Amino acid sequence: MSNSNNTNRKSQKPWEKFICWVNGDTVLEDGPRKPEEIPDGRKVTVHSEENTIEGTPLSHIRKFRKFYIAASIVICCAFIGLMLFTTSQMPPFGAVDVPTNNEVAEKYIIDGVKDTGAVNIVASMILDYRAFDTLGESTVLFTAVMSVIILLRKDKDHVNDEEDLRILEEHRILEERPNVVLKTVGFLLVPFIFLFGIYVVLNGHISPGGGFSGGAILGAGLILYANAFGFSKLRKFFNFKVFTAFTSGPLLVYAGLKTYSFYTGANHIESIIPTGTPGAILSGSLILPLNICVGMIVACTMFGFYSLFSKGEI
Amino acid sequence: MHEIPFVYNFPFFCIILTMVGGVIMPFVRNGWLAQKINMAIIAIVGGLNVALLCTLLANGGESVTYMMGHFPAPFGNEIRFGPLEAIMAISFCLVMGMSILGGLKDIYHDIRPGKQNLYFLMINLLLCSLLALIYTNDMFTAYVFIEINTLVACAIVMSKDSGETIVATIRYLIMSLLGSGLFLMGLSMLYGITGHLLMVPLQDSIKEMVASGQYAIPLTVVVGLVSLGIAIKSALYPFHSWLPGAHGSATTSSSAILSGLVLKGYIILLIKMVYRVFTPEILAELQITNVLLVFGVAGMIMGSVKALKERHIKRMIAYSSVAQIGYIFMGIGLGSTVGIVASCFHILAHAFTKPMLFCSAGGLVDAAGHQYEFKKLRGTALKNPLAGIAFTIGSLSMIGIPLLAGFPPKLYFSTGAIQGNWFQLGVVLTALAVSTVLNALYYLPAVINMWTPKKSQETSHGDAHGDAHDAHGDAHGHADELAAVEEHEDEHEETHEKPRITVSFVVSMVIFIASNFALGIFYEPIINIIQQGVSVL
Repeated sequence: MSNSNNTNRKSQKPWEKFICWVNGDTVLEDGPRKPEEIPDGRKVTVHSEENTIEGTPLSHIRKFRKFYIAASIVICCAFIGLMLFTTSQMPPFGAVDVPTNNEVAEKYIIDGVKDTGAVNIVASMILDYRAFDTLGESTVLFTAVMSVIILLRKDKDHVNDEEDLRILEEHRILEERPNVVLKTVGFLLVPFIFLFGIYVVLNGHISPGGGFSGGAILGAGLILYANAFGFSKLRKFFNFKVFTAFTSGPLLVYAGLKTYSFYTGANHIESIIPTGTPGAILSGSLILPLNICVGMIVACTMFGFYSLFSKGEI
Repeated sequence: MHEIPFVYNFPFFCIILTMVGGVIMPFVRNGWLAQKINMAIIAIVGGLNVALLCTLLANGGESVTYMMGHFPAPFGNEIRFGPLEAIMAISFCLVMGMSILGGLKDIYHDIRPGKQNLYFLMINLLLCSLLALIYTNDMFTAYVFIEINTLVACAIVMSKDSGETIVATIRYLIMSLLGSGLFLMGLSMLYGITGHLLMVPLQDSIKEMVASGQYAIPLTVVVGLVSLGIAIKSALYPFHSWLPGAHGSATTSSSAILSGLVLKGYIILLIKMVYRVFTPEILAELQITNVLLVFGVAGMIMGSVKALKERHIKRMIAYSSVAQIGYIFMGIGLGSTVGIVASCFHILAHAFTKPMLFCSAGGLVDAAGHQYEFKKLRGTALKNPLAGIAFTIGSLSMIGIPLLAGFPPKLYFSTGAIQGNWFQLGVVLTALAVSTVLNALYYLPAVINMWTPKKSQETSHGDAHGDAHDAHGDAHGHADELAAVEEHEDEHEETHEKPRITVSFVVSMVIFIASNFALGIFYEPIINIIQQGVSVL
């Protein structure tokens, strides 16, 4: 069968080739066609005794690999050169008369406290002047952690892979024989880390810090706790449901609060939220609750990444 | 303080609604319920945008700036919308809804039940980011939503859990992040030389800068980096390598949405930047338009050549997207209003056609028992005639047959080229002709193939026999046409179970076909709206 096929192929006229091509067969320029040996649905098919990846023969790919390495080095160097040259043409950093020292920065510095009630100008910028961007950024974090959940979170009916069992076993052993140093240090440090994280979040509008930095500290605390005392202990108060609630909930609150503020702003309605006395803990209109929301999202995202990548579970 | 009409709040409501719709999805454990919520949100957003478009047109096609907060232009965030943005948003909602419906069966087939709600989460956030890209008037907001868009697009590719999709996702993620990175670099430099992030103040300071001749080199580099970033993300020809894998391996709806909408979101942003930030005159002066034109033309030809070689139906359609993106960039590269209008219309035409092709290909692939090779797709259109008809119409539309959506943009591209200089005239007209022929060359065999009955079912295991038979069968099929088709249908196909065609698939295909004809026949009013929109951009 196969032999007759070969002879058929070799005596093929151009128009027969064309018909073959219309039919959806692979038209071969030269060499005998091997019968399809690979089961259907796989990417790699055997043509002319050569492996192909997506239609490109492996030998071509090998030949081009060196070229790619050379090309990537050249392109990188050229790009670095271009960037350095461009940077040298840019306005000098920190000089007085650069374009970035314009009315925008001036307004943020001079009117920031009056407009928003927040002493921390950075907080007033990211959570009041440009709060929509920050809403987007928080959503980026949320999206990232949800994507990782899609990728890595194990289904209940899917844990009996060898790999999964091995990881579970490793974790069981680790939890049975805890590291004494880690546990002791964790016992001493974790409360302070949490306290400090909460402090940074709550004081975001009156001192340097805020939701992003405070949330990162809280997340680090959670990771340390999980490592020192085991995920099973952590799961008693921080399971997947709590995780979901603490990631989605704050984002919903953020969106809700800002919807009010955007709506009143755009429709020129006076906002009923007072700015308070600058410097007091209850001041800066919405900045304090927004910082809390951002802090929760960031902490959960950090811990979520760690947990999913190490165990495939939260 | 002047009052603004309530309708002008709708774009902002749409962004928040889709975002909230995404964020609540982890609480919705059931994939079916998640899909219903998703559909409802898409329908509401579409409806709100129809109302918006009507109001905008009633007010003389104005462009409205909407403050996001209590602080005006250079200090706070802003969104801005005119007729162009509204019509894009309406089409995007419609296409997205129909893509979901058209691939619904595959979604439930390809994605694990526990993660279906997260898939719809991603779809909602994708709509949110696309809407934000359409409406934004602020470069940094655009960047933030580009980030969301990147992540979400990768997530909807990878949610079909197979080795192939993971490889494709990694490739997509790396290329896409490279694009975002270049865009961000360009944006930081732009901020460094202007001190603004909102589009209107940016334009003012860029004009000032060009007039005074200051920072000419950084400005050129900025334009280059931003365009390059967007070109990579929207798969302009030499940067398209991630596209066939990502679009070819994802689940049907994801492929449809990625090619129909995600690529376009970035291009709309580019068009907005061309008009609101850099201005066409400055771009022409920097020769950026000519560069885009050349790359666009290269994409038109090379995308089709690559598609010609492809034997995997979804990858072929994906390569065809590369060609169509080439058309759009070519239109922007013409540097004239006609070119931009043609590009905008082509965005719509492609958005309505490519998802239809992907969804109908999904139906055909389903009929062939989840086989993607052309050879295996023989005669599948007879098993699922609706999918076959939709695929045929989609192919004809992509080739540019009159009465279908793909025709008017070609007409306008040619008009734009004739109004341009001799270089544009020669290049664009030649490219259009060559590309049309190439399109026909790879779409028609696929169409012929799927309408030709499979003759060699019993012998298909013997490869030689099967091949000879297939070749013969095709020639035969040409000659005998439908009578033979029906005969063989009766003879051979009865033993095979017919694929179950779901109601959602029928609805989706019918609406896609109808809108394709609508775009192809009644294109005048749409062109008018786009022209009005472009004039107030």
